[in-house]
Amino acid sequence: MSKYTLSTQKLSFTVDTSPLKIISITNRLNAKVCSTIDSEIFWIECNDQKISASQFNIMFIEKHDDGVSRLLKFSMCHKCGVCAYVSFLANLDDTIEVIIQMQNGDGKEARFVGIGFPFMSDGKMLGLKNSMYYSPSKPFESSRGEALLDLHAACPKVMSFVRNDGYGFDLTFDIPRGSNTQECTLELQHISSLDELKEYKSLVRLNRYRAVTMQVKFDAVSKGWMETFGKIKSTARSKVDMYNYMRPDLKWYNNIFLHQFAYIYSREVYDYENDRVDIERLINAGKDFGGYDAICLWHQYPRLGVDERSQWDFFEDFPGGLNGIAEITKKCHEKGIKVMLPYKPWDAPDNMSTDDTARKLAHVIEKTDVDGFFLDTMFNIPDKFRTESDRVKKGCAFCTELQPENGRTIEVLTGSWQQSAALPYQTPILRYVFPEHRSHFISRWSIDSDRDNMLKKAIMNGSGLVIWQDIFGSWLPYEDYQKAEVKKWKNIWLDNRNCFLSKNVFPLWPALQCDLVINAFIDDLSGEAIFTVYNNSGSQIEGELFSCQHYGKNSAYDLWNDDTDIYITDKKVFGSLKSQQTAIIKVK
Amino acid sequence: MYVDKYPVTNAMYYDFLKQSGYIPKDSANFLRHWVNMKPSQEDMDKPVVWISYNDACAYADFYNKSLPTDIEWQYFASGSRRLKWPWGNEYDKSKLNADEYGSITSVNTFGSGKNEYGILDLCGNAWEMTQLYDDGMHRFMLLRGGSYYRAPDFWHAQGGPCANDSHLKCPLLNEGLNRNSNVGFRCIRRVANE
Repeated sequence: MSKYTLSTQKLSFTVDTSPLKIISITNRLNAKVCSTIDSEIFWIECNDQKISASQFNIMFIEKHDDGVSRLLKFSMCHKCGVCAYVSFLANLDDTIEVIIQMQNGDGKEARFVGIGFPFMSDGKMLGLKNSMYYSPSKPFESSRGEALLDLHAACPKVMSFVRNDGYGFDLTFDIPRGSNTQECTLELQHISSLDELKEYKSLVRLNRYRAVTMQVKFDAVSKGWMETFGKIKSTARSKVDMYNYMRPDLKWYNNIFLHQFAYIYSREVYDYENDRVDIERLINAGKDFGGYDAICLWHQYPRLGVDERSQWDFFEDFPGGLNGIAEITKKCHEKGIKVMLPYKPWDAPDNMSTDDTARKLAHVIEKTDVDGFFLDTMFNIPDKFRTESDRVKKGCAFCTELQPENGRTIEVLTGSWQQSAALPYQTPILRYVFPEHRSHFISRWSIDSDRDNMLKKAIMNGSGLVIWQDIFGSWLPYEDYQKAEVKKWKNIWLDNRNCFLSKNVFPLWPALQCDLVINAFIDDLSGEAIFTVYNNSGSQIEGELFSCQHYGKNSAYDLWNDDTDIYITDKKVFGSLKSQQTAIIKVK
Repeated sequence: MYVDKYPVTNAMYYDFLKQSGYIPKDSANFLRHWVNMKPSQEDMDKPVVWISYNDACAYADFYNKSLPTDIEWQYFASGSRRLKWPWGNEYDKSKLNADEYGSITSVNTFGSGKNEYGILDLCGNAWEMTQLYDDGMHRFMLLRGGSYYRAPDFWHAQGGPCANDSHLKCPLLNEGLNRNSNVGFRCIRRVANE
């Protein structure tokens, strides 16, 4: 027998062994989606010789079925001394993994060999007619080549070959934590274009121990990106315990829409004439924005380091000391505003352990009744911060300046800043994979039209903002019209919290015209949905904008503009958007 | 313009307090290193620290002097040849308290660090205040000369000795924060038709 087929309900691989090649990969959800690739599985470059998998001698062919997975494995060697093991593993979730292991079989020292994977990289996966390609590190780009989706380490990278009707294949590169070396899998994750994929080759170090060189999981899809994103989301979330986001004592953070960053060394909040923090002045000024929901009192950077005093000394030296902070907190609480303090990981005395630091944080919380800490420059958080703060006050939030590093960090944090370029079309995937994790948008140095664009970006992603006008001594106030727009956005957000706080949110909803960026926020209970739409082209876009098959059957209207002529017909939303215009379209 | 040869010392500030009866409105951290409002014997000739801009101005006013502006400080420190350091254009840590001593030293410890006018202790040891800036939103000082102390992290204010043509911006707030363990001052007297 020279042909072997491994199938799941959704997918099948056919492999020929004379010589070894992948003959076809079939999406069984639609039998017409059969990619006849007739491709080599790999080649290596060894001793100036290019050797393809078909030139290896197959030593063993194994088939196993343990009731959970089915394995088809080819063990092979070449006279150059390299041994390879190609496994096809059919899983219960109807995916098939291709795992390629290699070793230097001659027992000598390690050696480097060049390597490539023609079955993925020679472009034959695109034998599908009218198919689209989504690369793992840049799955969406505008007509100008801008990346539309900001990826995140907590979300698996996926490469897709999909037809216009949604049928195709997803290839997932998800390396188990602590797994053996997988240089090629790591590299393939970073492929950003089809050309890059076609030209892909690498160098791997083989030694006498067998190591996984490349591992990719194939899946059949029938609904294109909608389905692919669903899988990214469920895979990422399966590794994260969202317990903290369900805690009733931390729910308040969901309603924090405007997070004010108060640089204290400024008349924005400090009354130099009377030497006191004038928190009422700050709160009153916030009314122009629709009211601040949380204030971070910032008084350490850039002063720390002039002398030996630490951040903990600075809390004592704050105007009025810890009691002064407590009084401010009380005044804020009376007005329904939460208070956060900054923590600086870089100002840590050598003799202070993480436990000591956590106890210090808890001490400050206990003495001041603040509602949490802003973790400056951090993208992670020690677990002890949470346990110690819980000990003295339930419901303390922790917000990092940078996006959380990984799933574990997401578990412990409450929120993080979405600190990025003011580009309305950029969509951070984290917002949609972990919608419970609140990120407030900020681009501190953006002014004028850049600040307008930052607001558009927050709108596009259904999120609140950090209002920061005094950047360590550079006073960059919002214009009156910008304040009014923030206020308007806040009111829309509050009126439609059911959608914006929903878990059913979707980045880059399929658009019916080029250069429309659309994100969706759907409340399954009420049947209402908000679609934020941005015209990323250089000209007006008119006509059909997007389909909403499953949501909103009767009406569609724009909550943001008066001039977009939005209407719905036959489950399609139509309208007119000027270049770089944003719309907030509600359908119900 | 006449410039103090040394920064104001603890002994000098102690005399000022006795003569003037000065009591700051907010005494948080005021002369924190003194015991019973008196400097220790070994601190007498060291630059006075743990004083605020207001405390420094009170001293200067009492003796009919003033704090230099940032520009004036650079003018007298760099001298007629616009030197990078008080003594020349090359950094030489034998001429100042850079950090080896781990604390502030007496103002006359480094005689070789004097500039062409014979002004001492301009570099390292303790920062020197210059006249306050108020831009309508902020109050801050530009500190000059640097200090023996260097905080360890990139995000900390950059410490250590500071060349004649650079400064550290120090935003001001309440007196407790405005007083530092390594920031002192020296006075000048401006003369008309000089």
